[in-house]
Amino acid sequence: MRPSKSAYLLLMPVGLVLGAFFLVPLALLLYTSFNTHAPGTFALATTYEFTWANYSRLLGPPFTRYLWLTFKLSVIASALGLALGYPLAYLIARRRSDWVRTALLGFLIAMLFLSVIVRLYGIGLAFLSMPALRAVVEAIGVPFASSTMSEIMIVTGLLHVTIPIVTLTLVGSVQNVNPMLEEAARVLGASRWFSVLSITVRLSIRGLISGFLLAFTLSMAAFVIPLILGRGNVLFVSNLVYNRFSQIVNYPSAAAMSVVLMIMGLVAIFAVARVSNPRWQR
Amino acid sequence: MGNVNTSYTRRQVLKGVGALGLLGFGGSALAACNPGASNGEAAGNGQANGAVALVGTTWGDPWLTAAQEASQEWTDREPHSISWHPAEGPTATVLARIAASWPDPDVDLVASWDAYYGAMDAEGWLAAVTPELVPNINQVPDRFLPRNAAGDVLAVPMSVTGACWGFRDDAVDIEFQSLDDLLNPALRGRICMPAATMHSGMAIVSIALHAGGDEHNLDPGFEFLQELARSGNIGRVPSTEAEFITSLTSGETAISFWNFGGWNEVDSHFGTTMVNRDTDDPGLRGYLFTEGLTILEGPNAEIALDLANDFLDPSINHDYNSALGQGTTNADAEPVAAVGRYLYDTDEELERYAYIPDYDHLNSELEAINERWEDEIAPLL
Repeated sequence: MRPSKSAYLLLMPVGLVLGAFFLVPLALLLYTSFNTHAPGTFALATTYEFTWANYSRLLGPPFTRYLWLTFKLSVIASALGLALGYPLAYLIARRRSDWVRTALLGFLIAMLFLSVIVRLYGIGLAFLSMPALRAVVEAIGVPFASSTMSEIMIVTGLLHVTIPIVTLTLVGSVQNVNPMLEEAARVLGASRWFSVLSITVRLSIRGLISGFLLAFTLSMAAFVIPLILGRGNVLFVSNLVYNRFSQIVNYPSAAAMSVVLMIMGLVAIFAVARVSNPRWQR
Repeated sequence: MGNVNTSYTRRQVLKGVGALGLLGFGGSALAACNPGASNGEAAGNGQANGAVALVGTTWGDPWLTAAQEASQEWTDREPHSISWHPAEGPTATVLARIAASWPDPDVDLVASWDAYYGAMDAEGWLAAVTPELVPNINQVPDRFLPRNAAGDVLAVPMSVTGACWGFRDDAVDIEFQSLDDLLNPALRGRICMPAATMHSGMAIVSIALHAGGDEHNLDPGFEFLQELARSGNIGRVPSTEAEFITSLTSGETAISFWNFGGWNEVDSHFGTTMVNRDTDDPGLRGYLFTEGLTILEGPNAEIALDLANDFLDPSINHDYNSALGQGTTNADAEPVAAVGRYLYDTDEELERYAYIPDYDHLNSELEAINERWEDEIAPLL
């Protein structure tokens, strides 16, 4: 069915807003990323001088290391978010409407409204002021001052953001799976765990992939979490971009990093989305 | 005979919502185009009686509150007004914004410091500070006046301050008299090492001086830093004042290099010792700089210079710097007692223990310093 004229009319405002505040700035970002920067100045070069230098510099080890770190921690946080969020989503979806379900949903939604900054400082101070927590970490061979500890704290911070979002996304997917299918499997002799894993999880795979992609994009773009919990010794690409925009005022280099980060994210999303084809649900 | 049908179809509802949305979007677009809806605080905004609403930027609290209080007398006396805004980040972010909007910036006065005066002057932004327009400048010792090659004074210096190494008395058991002591295993995770771009790389300059270099030759400094990073003694790399204060006051770290204002804040909670005198280590010095008001060229420059003159009034200069824990610049102002341990009393002490880096050079090298940190030091942390 082709969209009617009124549908295009309804889409026009959002199209204008997206075009003006999303596509045009992206195009400007791309344009800026190929410009030359004079160290020690605050403005772009008075004449536009095309250069590949901002991108060629990113091929070297410093940037690829930070890109890998960002990617690695994002994948870990997304996978853990799924692993912890799915059981919670299953619990919410399968309970009949009662106070437990309402309380859990309310708690998850409240987590989304609670200030991220407050939570992050809470996490940081919890690790600082609880010797027992530090002792546990050091007992497993992770020195508290090490970058590994900072990575653990960053993943903890990312989970605070990803778990509510992933869980709320998955509740709908689990609800769409008819619980009678699980019961049928158990009647035929399957254990409860096996019936959940082989029936419900498989049939909600699209929700799992959507949840993972959502968590992954949020994690890759995270700025405040590594800024506060990274303790300056673990940085995401977003922090490098901020540094170049605000401290060094090298807009072309910052723009180039932003473009690369965006492309990496899009490639990852495309790859995962391609993998999730209808055969998964057979 | 049936009831009158008052129900709506889904299509009718959607059309109605769409029409309302279009109306709302068009209305707000029209409102945004209306000149009368523009920011009344924009620089150069003339009021009906010829009074001018100046706009100034400074760093966040306590500088913001101190600037507002220091401007009060001028505001009460003059028909003009001043609106102080906190900078959205380091000084460089404000300057980038000015560069983007020049020659029509939305700010008249910018709180800045030695690292940026030369760069701002090179961009042609600054109105010259002359004794005719800023009479109180005559009471400021010449060594505090930032000048360009032509001898023009570039800013109205409000404060003398600086940065140095120091530590929390209750959290450090070792004797800290040399930067080599930073490698002591007892300090594992206890050092708060500023990010490479903080204070225009002064911390790295201090380490370079210790290792036999200076701001023009940072290689010895980076070699020592690599050793320090490998030692595991660096517990945090702060890039904001809030991070530094939180790290020191929470006990996460105990030793750092930071500006006097930050140390003053930590000292208000815990005893601290500044290691900026009485040592033979060439790196353990007081790295001094002035903070000043730069006035941007424009129609409001004279009025802004008149306001800046008030900041040099002896009593206002004292009160402003008391709030910040920084040194006065007016020779007739009562010295701020709290800064006695940061600054130097005699010219001999100043000569022996103070160091004033080549800030213009540091500013031009900041990008290279940052890249070296990301490449050589960060992977070792």
